[in-house]
Amino acid sequence: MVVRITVNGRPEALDLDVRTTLLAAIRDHLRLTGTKEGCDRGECGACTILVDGRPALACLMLAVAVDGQVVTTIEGLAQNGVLHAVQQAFVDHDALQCGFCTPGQIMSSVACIEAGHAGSPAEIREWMSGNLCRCAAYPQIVAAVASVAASGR
Amino acid sequence: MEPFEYRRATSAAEAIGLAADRRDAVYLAGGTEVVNWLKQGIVSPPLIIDVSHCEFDGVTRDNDTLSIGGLARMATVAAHPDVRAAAPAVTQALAASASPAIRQMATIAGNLLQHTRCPYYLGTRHSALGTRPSAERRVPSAEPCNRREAGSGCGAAEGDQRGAAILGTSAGCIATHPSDLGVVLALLDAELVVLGEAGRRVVAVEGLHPSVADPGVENTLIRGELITAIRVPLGRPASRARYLKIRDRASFDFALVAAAGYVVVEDGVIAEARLAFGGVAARPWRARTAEAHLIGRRPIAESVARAVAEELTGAVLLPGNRYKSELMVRAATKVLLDPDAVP
Repeated sequence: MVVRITVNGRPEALDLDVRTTLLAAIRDHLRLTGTKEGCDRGECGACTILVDGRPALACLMLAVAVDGQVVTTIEGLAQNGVLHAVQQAFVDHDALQCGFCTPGQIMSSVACIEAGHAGSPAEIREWMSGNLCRCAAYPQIVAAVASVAASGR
Repeated sequence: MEPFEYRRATSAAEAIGLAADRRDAVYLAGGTEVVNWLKQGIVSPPLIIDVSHCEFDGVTRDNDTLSIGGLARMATVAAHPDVRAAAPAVTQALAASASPAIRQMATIAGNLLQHTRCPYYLGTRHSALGTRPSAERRVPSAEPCNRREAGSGCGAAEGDQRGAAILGTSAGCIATHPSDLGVVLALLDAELVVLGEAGRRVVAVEGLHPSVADPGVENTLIRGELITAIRVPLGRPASRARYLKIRDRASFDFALVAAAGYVVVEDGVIAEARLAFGGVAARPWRARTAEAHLIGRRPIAESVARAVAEELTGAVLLPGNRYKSELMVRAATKVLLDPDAVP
């Protein structure tokens, strides 16, 4: 079945088995491997992307079900070679160790800040609770999110 | 994942029509349950009917009823001003559910139709994140589970009982229902508007699941039916009730025990009481016995403990889950007597 989605501003038409998850479509068919496959069952947040601007777990979506919708992945955040403010804050605050959960953490951070849920460390922790970090870089992640929220970027 | 045919419906009526021709179809809405079921071989339908693009997703309020479309997203409902103002426990329950991304995806109707997270049902007992079935193969649960495979036994009965039910259990199943929202809806006497081939009918939320756990009956909907709306009666119960969830992690976890309720005190005694529990049965558990025992008692912890003890008459407490009876008392005490302290 042909699935038409706009990914990071670019219209794509993919001929997919209907069983293909959005995660597999992004990684294996579009070769955008920034979005990670962690648990593959909605428990870790590594595959967090934005669909029509809202955070979503790509592992729990069938690609056919988002036909006609707009997807943003980690690769779509930087503009003209300049990192998104949240990406830069993760670098500045050393908010990662192995880096595997980082794309999902950053996509959730962007959504968390845009929705106005980054008012305090406790609020950030609650609204980022769907993204697990096995290296436990949580203090640095919270600091990175708080810094962007405070700067109003 | 087994092969299936995919059809997208643009209206509830169209979806019902598609299902009528193919009685073994499964509806897909937010996907947060169904896609996992497909991956794990819990369902392998020949036809998936995608209803996620239909429009029965609004939230409206008239004088005495809050009406929530079955396809409304959990996050949308939790943040809705009318919900927050008139039924704050609904917002509390939704905000305590899952994670922000899942709440943006998952629908209200789907939330009520969740399957149990019993590790024997999911076949995930041996690792934190479970084994991942191949994309092509249907993988049966490696654990005995009557709900998963009739007659295979109940692994939890003599195994890991920590999350298991203590009320409304049966010889074949001690699973719990995972919904937070359902507990509040049962408390508030909410109703479901259900559309099927035979037309529209109204089902009490309390009637959505078998009264005693039946591993062969997930819910009481007739095949092909869709929950198009949820009606919440407004008034004192909706405005007064609060929801408290107790779980292992501070966030993003299912309830070990949850309590919803409120009391009205007049002349120093309880004149009106409602109480419901989550995490203790295969359905949201409305504690009508405890409610009756609270009337006329003083609003003190001892009254709540006695009422919950009455509710637990007939409970089956196993070594691994008997702690839930004490958690029920503590959760009920806090939600009924100190509601302002419930976050």
